[in-house]
Amino acid sequence: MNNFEYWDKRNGTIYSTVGHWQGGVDVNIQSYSLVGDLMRNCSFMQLHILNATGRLVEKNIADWIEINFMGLSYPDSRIWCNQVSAYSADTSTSVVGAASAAILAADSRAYGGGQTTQTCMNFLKKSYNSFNTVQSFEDITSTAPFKNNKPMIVGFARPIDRDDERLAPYEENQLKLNIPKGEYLKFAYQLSDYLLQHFNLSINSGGYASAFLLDQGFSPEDSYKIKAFSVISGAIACYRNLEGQPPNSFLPLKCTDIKYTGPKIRKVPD
Amino acid sequence: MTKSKTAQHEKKDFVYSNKTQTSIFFEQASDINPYVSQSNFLHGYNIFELMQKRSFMEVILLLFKSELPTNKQTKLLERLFIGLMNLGPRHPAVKAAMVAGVSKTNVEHLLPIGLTTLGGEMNGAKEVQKSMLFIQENITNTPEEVTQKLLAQLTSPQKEGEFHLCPGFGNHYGTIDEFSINLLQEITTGFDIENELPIIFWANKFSNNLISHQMGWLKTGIAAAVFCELGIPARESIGLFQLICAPGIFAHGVEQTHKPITAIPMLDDEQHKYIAQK
Repeated sequence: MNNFEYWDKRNGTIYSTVGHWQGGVDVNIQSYSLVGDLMRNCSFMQLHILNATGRLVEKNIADWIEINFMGLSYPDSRIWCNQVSAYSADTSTSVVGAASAAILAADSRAYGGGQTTQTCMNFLKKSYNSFNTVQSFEDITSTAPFKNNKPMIVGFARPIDRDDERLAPYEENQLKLNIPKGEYLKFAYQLSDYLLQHFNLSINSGGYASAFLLDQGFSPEDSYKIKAFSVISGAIACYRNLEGQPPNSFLPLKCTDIKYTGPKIRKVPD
Repeated sequence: MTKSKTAQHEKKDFVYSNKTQTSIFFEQASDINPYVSQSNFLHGYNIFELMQKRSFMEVILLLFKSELPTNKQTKLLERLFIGLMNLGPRHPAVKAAMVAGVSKTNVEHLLPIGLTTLGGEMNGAKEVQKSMLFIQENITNTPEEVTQKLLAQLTSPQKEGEFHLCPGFGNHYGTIDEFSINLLQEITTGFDIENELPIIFWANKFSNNLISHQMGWLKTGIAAAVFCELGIPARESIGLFQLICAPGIFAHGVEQTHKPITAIPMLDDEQHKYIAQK
């Protein structure tokens, strides 16, 4: 005899621990009133963080994360997710189609601010704990995968050949918003100094933001959710840049612009 | 050299290619317009010649494997395509497309919505990839050894709900997935499984070992075993599984667009229960 109680209970019923919309009355979000409280007293970013994590954080924390979002979404169609948005505009998709495609594109282990933040936070958490016990920076670094004799640590290298312009405003705003520099951020900068000295690698936006989020008590999984759509603004700008142009206007390629490396031309066997 | 200049110099180790490369497709340029092709070649074969001489299924396998398949490989994939072409209106990916369709989402979004939902690690394309890796990592051991090892690791009591012992194998709503057991039977009909399909043979024995625990093949496991047998790489299996399931997702999604928005139930307030977390 099988027991289907688990599924029968959910058949035609939704159980929610996040909230409830009572049409014409109010919306409950984690037991806060949207209409009576949050709409009056919160910023959009505070509300988003509440929805993403279940935590209502102070406004200054949400404001800093908002600034971090500004650093993850540039109106430059060379950036991979923005290219995707521009290609979508080139085929005249809807703007939402383009923005969604760009968000999916940025769900990447290499860039994008979401998955990379989660990875970096996991590394920082682990290495901070190790450092506080017995390990040195040398030990910590040796646990990372190496490429071209350099450790590959997400948040401490950047796949373009310039230094990171976002660090200064992050620091300035953290100071301005009266958010003390936490232990993870201090540790991240120490790690950065070590990596610069030995491998010419240094902290970037992702490393800073990851340490900041750990200092504010967010888990790596929370942060992945908070940043789920962080690239959307620049992607929409890049859509707008192509909007209304004739088809195949964005980065058109000649046949010979693609290097074919496959088999030579051959006959299909009969 | 300053510290910053040294860093910039070293970062130039990270060099971007000046040309995109592919070994899949060659476009022969027109004589008059370099942006227009006159002939296209898939792994060296002229597309027009493939159209005349080969089936869709053969060309799909050519696309992913770079060589034309045997008749047996083609038959195996074709059966998988038909078997999984429509996951049915209760699969989350299909339900996602249907609820989008009935709520008047742009029709061109229905398939991407369904396929994104189908990308997951449970009953989705990522589970197919993980199942392939599971099979490849364990196939040198006997199915009995693998079964015993996995069952020994089970914690008691198990979590409520559907349980996958490993990627591609488990229970479906608490019991054996009867459709999947039958699907495997149909896919392999006419094959000498032990000799012609050794990976599926191994995986089927593994599945049989789980039956007394109300577990066995899941659809994702079947797709994984077939892909292993066909020599499809694990990463490629993700999109191929999505491609196979795409027709049903779109058909169900677009069907709902012709209906009023009221055609799918909207639960009452009483059917949406908020449980405050402590």
